[in-house]
Amino acid sequence: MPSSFDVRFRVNGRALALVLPAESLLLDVLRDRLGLRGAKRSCDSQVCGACTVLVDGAAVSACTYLAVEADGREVQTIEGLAPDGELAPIQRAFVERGAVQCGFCTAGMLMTARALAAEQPDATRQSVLHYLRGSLCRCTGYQTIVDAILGAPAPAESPAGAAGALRVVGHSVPRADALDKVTGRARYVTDLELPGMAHAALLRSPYAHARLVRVDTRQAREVDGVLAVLTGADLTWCDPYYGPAFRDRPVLAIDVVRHEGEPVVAVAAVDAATAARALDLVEIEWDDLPAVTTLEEALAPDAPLVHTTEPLSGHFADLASLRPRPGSNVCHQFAYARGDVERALAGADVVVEDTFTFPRVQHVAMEPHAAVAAWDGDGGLTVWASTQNPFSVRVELARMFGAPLGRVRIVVPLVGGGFGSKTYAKLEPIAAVLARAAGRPVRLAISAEDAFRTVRRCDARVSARLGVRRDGTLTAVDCRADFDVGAYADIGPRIIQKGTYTATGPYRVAHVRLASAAVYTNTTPGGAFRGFGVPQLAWAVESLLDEAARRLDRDPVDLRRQNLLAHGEEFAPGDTPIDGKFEESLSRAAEAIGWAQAVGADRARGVAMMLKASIAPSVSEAIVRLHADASVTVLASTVELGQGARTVMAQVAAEALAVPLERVSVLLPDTGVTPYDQTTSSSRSTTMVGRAVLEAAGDVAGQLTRIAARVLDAPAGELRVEDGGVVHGERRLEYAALLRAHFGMAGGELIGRGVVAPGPSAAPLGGSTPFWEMAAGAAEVSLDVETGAVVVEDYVSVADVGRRINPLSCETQDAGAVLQGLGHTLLEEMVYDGGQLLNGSLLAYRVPRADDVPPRLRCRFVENADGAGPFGAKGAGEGSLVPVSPAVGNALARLTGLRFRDLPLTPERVWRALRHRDARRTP
Amino acid sequence: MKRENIQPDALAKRVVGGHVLYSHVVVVEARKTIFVSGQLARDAGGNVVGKGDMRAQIRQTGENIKAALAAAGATLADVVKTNTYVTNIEEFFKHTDVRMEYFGALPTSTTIEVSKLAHPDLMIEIEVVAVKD
Repeated sequence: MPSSFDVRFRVNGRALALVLPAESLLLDVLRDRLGLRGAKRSCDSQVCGACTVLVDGAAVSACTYLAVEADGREVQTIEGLAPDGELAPIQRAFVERGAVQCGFCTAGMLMTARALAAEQPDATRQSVLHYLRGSLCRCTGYQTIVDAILGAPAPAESPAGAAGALRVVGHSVPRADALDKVTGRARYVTDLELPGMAHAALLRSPYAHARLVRVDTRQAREVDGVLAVLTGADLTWCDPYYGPAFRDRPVLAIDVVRHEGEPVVAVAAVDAATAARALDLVEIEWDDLPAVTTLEEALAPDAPLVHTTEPLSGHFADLASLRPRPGSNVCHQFAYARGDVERALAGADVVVEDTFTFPRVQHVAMEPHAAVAAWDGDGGLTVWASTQNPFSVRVELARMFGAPLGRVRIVVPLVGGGFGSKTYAKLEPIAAVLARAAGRPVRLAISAEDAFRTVRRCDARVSARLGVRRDGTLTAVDCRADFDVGAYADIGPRIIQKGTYTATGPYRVAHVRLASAAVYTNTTPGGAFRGFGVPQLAWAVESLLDEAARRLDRDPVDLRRQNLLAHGEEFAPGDTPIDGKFEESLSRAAEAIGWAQAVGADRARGVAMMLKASIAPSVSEAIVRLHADASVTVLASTVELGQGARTVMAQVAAEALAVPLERVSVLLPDTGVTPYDQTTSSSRSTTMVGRAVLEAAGDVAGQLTRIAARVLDAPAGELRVEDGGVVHGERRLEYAALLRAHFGMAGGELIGRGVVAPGPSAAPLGGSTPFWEMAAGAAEVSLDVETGAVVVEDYVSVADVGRRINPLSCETQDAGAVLQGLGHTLLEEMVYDGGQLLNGSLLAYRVPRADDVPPRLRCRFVENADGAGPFGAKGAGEGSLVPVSPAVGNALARLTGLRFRDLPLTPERVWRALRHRDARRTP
Repeated sequence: MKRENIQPDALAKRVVGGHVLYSHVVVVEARKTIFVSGQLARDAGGNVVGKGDMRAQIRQTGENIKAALAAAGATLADVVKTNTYVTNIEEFFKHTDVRMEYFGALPTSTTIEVSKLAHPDLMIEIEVVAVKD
């Protein structure tokens, strides 16, 4: 059988003849041979649909389709959808409906929609949902995608009430990168090609905990085309440890592996196949060690230790005094108390108490982690990275290599979803050491399967007691939480602090005692994930609040309303006053779900609320440049990962400088060019970076006014900036004319600078949150008693965002957050057995699909322009995820009389509980 | 005696645990002004009470102020101004519920963190001014 074939096929109408190895996948041929990079690689297993292309009009997953199968056929890719630049109607619908977020699924979605349209021209909503079962999206919540495919008319612009006199802010302008994303032009890290670039592959540990007795890489090094082979022991020329809290994570395992899937050997070769072949020749002798894979095992007396002692990183003020418990697996403990909890509980009329668990879940960003690293001749390092915080990655790499910050450059193209998984260094250190050893640029891109071995949410066990007086006053919260941070601490210590500190949620509680621990286990490292420790606590506390309402025979909405913190009231003594109106969020959620109306006997409703602090202290800077033709460039380091931050920054600058939105460009982050920004996470970008952009634009406007005052010989106080010019009475000077007058030629530019940097604070965690993120959720559920399947029939999310800079973006963000919340509520959990991850792939790990979206899902907003951000905005995007689990759990409790304590609420778990209940009822 | 507690709109009102912590402005017309020295968490024998326990120290200090005021024929309801010195302001803030047991009349207030008080075990000192007809 020949190993290569002549393959003749047409791609987007162009006839091609290629000689291809038998095992060539269509996706690789399209992307690497033909440069058609619109189809994306994600799951490698025909589950996610990101690589969907058409072969003879039918949708196929190019990641599992042999290129030789396409012989004699017609292949169509996203690049062929708008050959002459004229968008197809479906592409336009995606842009207008807001069906595009991170964009990594977009090409596949569009091609799937195209195949569906050919197959079923009159597709119903039901058949679209069915058809999309093979197309995953983690950002949008699917609603807008389904609507776009159905050709539903775009919703009318939201009422202008909130936007008032604003021209650009408060309007759902199309996203800055939507056009690139619907045409396949958008570029992510894996789409970059550098001259001479090598490809990396990793050998990962099959053991949860083992000693590396012998690692022999000699044969691997001799393979033709191999450029570098590295083990942890080889990294004598740099500091081989990193981590934002503890420097506990080796770039490649040193002496010991601590979780299944930990990188042990890294290879760089001329192509991916050669790198993989070399790894097959590595010989390793392992000495299996006892492993701990659950909190119970890790906290048992005499438990095997995952780590001994690790040095602190010292990057962050709030992580400067971590408290490990020596001789145990506890790497940090947090405690906070006020008032007298024991006395308050003793004096309470009702005390409710229980223990809840929250599962290990993975982010499943559609784009798995990727990095490309290149060194220049004199020791400068550039890394193109799929990261949410380039400046943190820069610090880690500079420290590893003893390089000045200015010599390490992190460039972030578009990112295909993050949700926290791409905060802090992940693959960048490995790519950097490989590139140094290989002496040329190296690309390291992992699969969705390996993302499950890179980072996940911290699972948790939360025990809480709530004390309530007969009159409904919540007097005491006593809460103890253990978080499983996995094999390396990552940012886990901060997660347990922030999550636990706000355990009391949006309620006024005089007597509080909170304690939590971050616990190492031999599992995938736990890290940041949308909600950052809050979902784990809210699941427990919001469930118990409903129990208290039941015991007091009180309406759960009323009981919550009675205890809400008021606008302006300090969350905790000395901390930031509440900057929103909880009462309004709760009332709107209750009203929209029809709380006051009767519900059928086979359904029940539940509510829940949340409050979350943003990261603090927190610094963002921005630069705004006004060019000679009055166009504007915004330099800010907010990462565009699908949330629409880039568009928000453009809107803020356009509004502040009174120029058309089309005249504003926002650069993507490049630490060598764009100014410092701490992180794109914690729902902070609109507030913090938005404020910096607003200030920088204001700086430019101020300069324009001073120039105009001179030119017009008028007092600056009488001038105003309006519609691209400076106006004094009847006189008006265009920006371009002012710049010409200022510079004496049609060149030069005005540069404005904005800095948002809080000073030190006395707040309990070393910095007061710049804003509070707050949301309410209400669910109506039904239950199939035969199977235990829980169906969320209706869900209402209400987020208090101050003001929506881009209303449609806020809606799709929150719809996506709700769906992610439904994931860990009903479906998702990483299952381990004996240290082995059993379902670490998208085939086995089930994330919500289009047909899992509640038949009715509404995202609403409270907008009182009371936020700390530009135009009164504040954080959005995380809050709506948090109330989902407790709202559904509370509804299910009312429906079944059973209080569920463990997530996810899988059919099996619910069915067993029902059977147990019924067995006890019929003696 | 006429007393008016004022919270001007221009000044942020500190609300903690549903309670306003102090008044920005207190206006009184009265004949007698009573100055009380900074009181500490010492018992009648001069021994420090509640070592390392902010709640106990606030309580003892409050009781001492009460006794001092009583000697002048006044009560806590007559206090118009407090100056509070603490060695750890975060710890102090966690126990505002105890402080409010003594200063519910909402006198004006200043709170300062200091490095040391008269004895290494002392965590708080409060001086007050009261007025009385």
